[in-house]
Amino acid sequence: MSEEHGGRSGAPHDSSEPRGLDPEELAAALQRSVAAIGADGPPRAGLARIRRRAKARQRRRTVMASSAGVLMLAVVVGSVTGSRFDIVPVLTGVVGLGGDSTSGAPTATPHAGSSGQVRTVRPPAAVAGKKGPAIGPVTASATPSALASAGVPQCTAADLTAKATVDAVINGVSYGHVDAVASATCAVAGPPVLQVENLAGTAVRSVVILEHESTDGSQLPDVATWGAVLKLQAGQGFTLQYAWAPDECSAAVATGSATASGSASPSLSAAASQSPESTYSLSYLVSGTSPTLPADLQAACGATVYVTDIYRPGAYALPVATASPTPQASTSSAPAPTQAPTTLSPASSSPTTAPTSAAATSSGTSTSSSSATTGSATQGAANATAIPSSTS
Amino acid sequence: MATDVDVTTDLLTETYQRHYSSLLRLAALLLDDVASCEDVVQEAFIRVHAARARVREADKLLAYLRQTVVNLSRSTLRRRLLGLKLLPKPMPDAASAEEGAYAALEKDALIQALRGLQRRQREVLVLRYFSDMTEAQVAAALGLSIGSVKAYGSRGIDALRARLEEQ
Repeated sequence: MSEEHGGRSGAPHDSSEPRGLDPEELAAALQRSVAAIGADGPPRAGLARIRRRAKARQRRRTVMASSAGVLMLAVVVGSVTGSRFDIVPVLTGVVGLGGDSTSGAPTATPHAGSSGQVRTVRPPAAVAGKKGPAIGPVTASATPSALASAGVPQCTAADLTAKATVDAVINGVSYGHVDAVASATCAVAGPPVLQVENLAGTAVRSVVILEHESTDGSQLPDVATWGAVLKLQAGQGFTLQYAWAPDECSAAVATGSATASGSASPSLSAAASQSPESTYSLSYLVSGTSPTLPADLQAACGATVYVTDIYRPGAYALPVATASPTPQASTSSAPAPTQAPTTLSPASSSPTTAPTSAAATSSGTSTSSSSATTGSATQGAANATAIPSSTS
Repeated sequence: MATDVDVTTDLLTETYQRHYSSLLRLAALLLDDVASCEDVVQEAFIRVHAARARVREADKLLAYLRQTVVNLSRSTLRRRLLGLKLLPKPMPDAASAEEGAYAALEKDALIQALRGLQRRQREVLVLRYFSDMTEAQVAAALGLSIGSVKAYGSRGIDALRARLEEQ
């Protein structure tokens, strides 16, 4: 948490590096630029001044809140009693401004105590700081200094060859993974950023991407980290896994699927009626900007994507379908993983968009081996670029 | 026996002693108008003082302060901190001592290049590389997704390098 960066003695910087500013050097340069500011420490009387002003402001706010409360009370009392009640004694009595606090106040203002002090209506407390969209746990260790301690530059799109694949469809949920291999020595930081797009450009509203948690009911492995930093040599890579869980359709939409009962899986029945809205491509964004070869996925009524952190290849097993898919007597397109939070519906939680989506120019064919993934890679007119949200 | 208020008051004092300078530098990196840096940091501490009953952990207190500094710096850039300008100019002792440092800041090539960036890019770079925050922490402070933080950071570094090369 320190901002003095005592531990930045790190890696040597290759001045011929064409990628840009070395993060470690940038951090050191920023520190140097402002080192003289505040070098004498905080002003001696500063904290006392802050406390004095904070208390003065609090007093002002209390008075203002009280005034607002009294006005509201006056309106309420006025509307209830009409012309039968003189509001002025109530006002003066409640705010302690003098006057006869006993004249009618006890019967009309139950909150106004015998002392006549301000203990009436308070305005609602200010809303606590709003959470930003798609914020993962702050226990991630991928600080710039952690990346710098890896001693190698951060991986860029040019360093990585990555592709997303679908491995298995289990209970209507498509499980897949992204493999990335580095062509040069570099470091990569999680958590991963996924991009989902469809031809209709509705992915941003219909797909939610969440961090995988052990309680979400999916069969993804519980990767221990969230924001890991991996140092890669040329030829080394990393993996992340995801689960694509098509959302249940509403009754009106599900009617069409119900007529196709007996199909191998709900997702397949949905695939049978592919449309620009139901065909999605999912890709991993290197450095948050450059999409990789996507995997094609289907969902008639939107989907929820669960994703793990990045990890060394082979560290965790891929979900495997243990038996042939059993048709489920469901009228929905596909069930979400069991115990999935009820707040995961696209209507209540939408993925966040990236600052620009111009980078979404991926092309290429799907590398999916699953029967549920058909069609060629899509180039979305619009896309949903998202990082998993915490479900908490 | 120490009450909660005592504990949080001590926490505030400790935070003030330890992090005032770094918060001042953070404001200096975010603001074009360095004269408002002390105002911004002082205002952040005033707000934290008001919220001290809710924030009782050092990490959260510092995060709250940083976020407040970022928000106030943004406001200052937009409307020159209309409210704070009404305050009497504080800390004459500090202001005089800081004059030289601020003058040097105005001539710093990196600072000038930083000021040429988009606001979001600048905020991400400063929080990420000056304050050494994780992408998740930056996302929380700025109300962005982590993907956006990555993108702003990546493009910000490219833009910063281009501006430095122009100079």
